[in-house]
Amino acid sequence: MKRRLTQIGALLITNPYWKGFAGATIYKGPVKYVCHPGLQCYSCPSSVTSCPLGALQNALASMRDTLSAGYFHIGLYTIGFFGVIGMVFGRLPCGWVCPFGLLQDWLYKIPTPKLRVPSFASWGKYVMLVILVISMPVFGSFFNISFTSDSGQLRPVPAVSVNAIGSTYPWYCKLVCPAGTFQAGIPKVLLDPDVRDSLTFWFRLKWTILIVFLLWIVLTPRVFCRVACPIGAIYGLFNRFSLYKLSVDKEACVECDQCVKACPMDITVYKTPNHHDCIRCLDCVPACKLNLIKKGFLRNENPKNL
Amino acid sequence: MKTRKTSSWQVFWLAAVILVLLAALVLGYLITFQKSDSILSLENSIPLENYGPAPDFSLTDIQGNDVILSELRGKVVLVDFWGTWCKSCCDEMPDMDRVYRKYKDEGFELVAIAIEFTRDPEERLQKVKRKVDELGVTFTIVIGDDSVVQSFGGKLENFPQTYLIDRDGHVRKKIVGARKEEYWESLVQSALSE
Repeated sequence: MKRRLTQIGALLITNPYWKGFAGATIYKGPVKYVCHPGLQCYSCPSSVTSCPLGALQNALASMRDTLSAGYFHIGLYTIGFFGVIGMVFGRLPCGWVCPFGLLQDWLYKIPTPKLRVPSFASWGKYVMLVILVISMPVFGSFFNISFTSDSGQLRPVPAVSVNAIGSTYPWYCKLVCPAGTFQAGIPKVLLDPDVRDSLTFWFRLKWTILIVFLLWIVLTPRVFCRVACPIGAIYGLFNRFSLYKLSVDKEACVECDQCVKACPMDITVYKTPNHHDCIRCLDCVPACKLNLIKKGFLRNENPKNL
Repeated sequence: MKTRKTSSWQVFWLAAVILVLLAALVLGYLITFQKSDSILSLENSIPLENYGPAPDFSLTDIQGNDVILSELRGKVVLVDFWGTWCKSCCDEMPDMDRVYRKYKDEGFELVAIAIEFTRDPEERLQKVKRKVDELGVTFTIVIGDDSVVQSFGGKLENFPQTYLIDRDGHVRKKIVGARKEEYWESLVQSALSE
């Protein structure tokens, strides 16, 4: 309950620009230089903060241009932002402030038969991170797809590393991000008739990805966080090292699996309390009947072994 | 009895969610390609509208010359808002350049206004110059700011956006998003043949 209130509070605090919906426009004031720790699209009409993942991709995508113009601007602010949040909290923002996480928590409440995903699916988000967030924006388009006017068909043109024109897209935003489609794409298309003429294959692709994820979210808890969120992937790398940690008294643990049942990310909490998938929703803490799961700053993973 | 009730509720919810989402899917597809003909077809003339007199601006191009829109009265002008950060904008500029070179002697002018996030004026100029070199475009490139976009009634997040201005200085077409060479050519032809 405390968590739900925090999520709703974070949603309200970072989305006060309601008149963005009225004018189909977005806030571009000074607060926009601040990143939201979660997946909240820069282009959402009501958002006053930026998405750290979008900022990272844009910094990486424009790096070639900036460096060749003689300026050493390589996105240190964004990288530092991820580093600071990761080192202090790990994936805690995923469980407590991410608006797309809140949507997933709510959609999962719909009573339907539920589905589990195999654990290797967790690596999907790292594939997204390496390919779409880092490699493609940095090295340009590996493949240059253009939507040709004469035949109306997709024409993939293989290119080695960079295409003729230097800057590239934030590819994760462009190809995949269902949060962006939900928070920014759909409101924009519905509210602003001017942009409807310019929609192409990409919007159709992203719309389909969103629908697939919305359905999947109803069936599997936090499945987007598990398989496709590069922000979670980055924070997840810090989970084992962050100042905020979970710890389990492994000697007293009877492995009753109550914590595993409570965990939306299917983590065996008593074995890996700081697993890279852990969103630190802390649902496992009250689930432990013996009260062996502790949380807090500067904790050893297994205090008895110290 | 109780289990049975729960299970029929579950089926109802599942069916409802799937139906709503599938309806959304179809709706999205319809919206996406509702007007795609206007981008893709090779129609010869594009219907023009009239949005009234274009707002004037006086900006400096990347060679350091002043460019004043009202001094281009008597010519058909395309005002294109772009940015080095906007790949769709950059992608369509070589297409626009081919149209520009074909029609510039017939009273057609193209002014591309770069809107950049970079605040340092020198860095901004270098970035724009480099991008223009890379693209190899020959039309006029000026550096603008958000207020120019807004004076045209444009939204700052709709890039690229292009305005067609006729010989009398009236805005006759607003285009949001990138288009292909064929589109720009028929648009310019429509305005020149009036």
